[in-house]
Amino acid sequence: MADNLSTPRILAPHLDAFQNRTIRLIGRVTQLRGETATIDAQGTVTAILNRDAHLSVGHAVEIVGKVQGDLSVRVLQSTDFGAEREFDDEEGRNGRTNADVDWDVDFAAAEALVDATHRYKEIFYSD
Amino acid sequence: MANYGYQGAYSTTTYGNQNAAVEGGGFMNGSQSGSQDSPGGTKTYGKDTLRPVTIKQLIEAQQPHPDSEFKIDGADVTQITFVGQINSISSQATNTTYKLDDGTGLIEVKQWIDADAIADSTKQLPKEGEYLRVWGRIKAFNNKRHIAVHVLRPITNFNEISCHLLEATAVHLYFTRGPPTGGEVKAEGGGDGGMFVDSNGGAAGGTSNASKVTKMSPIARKVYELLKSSTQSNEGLHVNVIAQQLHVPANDVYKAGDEFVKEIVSATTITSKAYHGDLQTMSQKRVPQQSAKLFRGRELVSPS
Repeated sequence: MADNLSTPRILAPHLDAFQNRTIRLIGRVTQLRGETATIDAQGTVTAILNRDAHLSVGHAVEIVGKVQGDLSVRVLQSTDFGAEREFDDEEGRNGRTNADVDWDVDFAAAEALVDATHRYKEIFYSD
Repeated sequence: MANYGYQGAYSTTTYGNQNAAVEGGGFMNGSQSGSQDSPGGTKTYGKDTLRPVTIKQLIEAQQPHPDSEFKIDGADVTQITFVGQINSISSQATNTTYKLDDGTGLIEVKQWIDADAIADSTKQLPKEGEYLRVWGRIKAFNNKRHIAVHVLRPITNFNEISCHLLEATAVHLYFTRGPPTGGEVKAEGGGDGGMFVDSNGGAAGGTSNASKVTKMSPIARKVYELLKSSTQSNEGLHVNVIAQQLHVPANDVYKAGDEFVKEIVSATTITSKAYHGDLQTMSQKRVPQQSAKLFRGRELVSPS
């Protein structure tokens, strides 16, 4: 039962292994182009948006969606996880300390969670 | 230290002792001997824990008999906490039911409406798509499982989701693989140095011994921690005493003892020396040879 209902957290490199499955992905919106958006989640992911999706460039977003055959993700639900404040280095930290970025999404933590999800999947999802 | 706090709460055995050893205080030991006084433990009173879990764990939690406590990873769960995104809300006369999804499954969460409470219309009600943090208990009703809520609050910092799920993983690993080692163990080594006046060798060997213990079964590790942290006479600890203190069958303690012996057989002198140091039992003049120490090691956990 849990099988159908679970939405394993993944990143771009996992897309291939999760074709035709519903997944959950946290990333940063890099581009919006009509019906599609480009999301950076340790690699580029193309998201096919639904009507309710309100994405903003530069914001962190959590997407629940189905991985298509071409590895794009058809969005079922999207949640805005907030604006990333100005960044110009790769990590988006721009030399700020943790205290400064308190309310930004900590991508390192989200990535650690993806790692734990697949390492100890017995408590996260079943194949 | 906050870390210690919650881990101590999960297990009244190894961690309690360890804390006492580190802090050199008698408080934890005292509370432990208190629980020994009533062997068998009555119900879950005083054993209430608050465990972070994933929804999948809640769905798969075992209930040995109807009305008994649920078990996750073989451990009783009483209070639980988790996070989830609201999938649907249904408001009824007596309760509000939320269907929450944390990416690992879906579960119903019921918040009973307190009729006596003054209605607070200014309070914003949760909306679909929002994330909630829940504290509650697992309930089974008509073969359907739901969570009875104690406290519910919206999540505003999304990092709490990652944090919670990682914490749930850590606790899951604690129960399935035993207490964490590594950093923790090193701290213990330091504690030993302070604890045992004559244990220079013991403390130094302690770290390498600890790495041996890491590979042992959880029960063997528990026994090892107990032997390490409790004060004992020349005869060591009787197997029944160990079994009682850890609330495990004596047979398991024997098995743990066998594991120690096996490890020592395959190990070098350092290990047996560390064992010696840690256990404060083997008298050097009597047992200079390794084989003799082994025998002595077995004696430690057999009825004298």
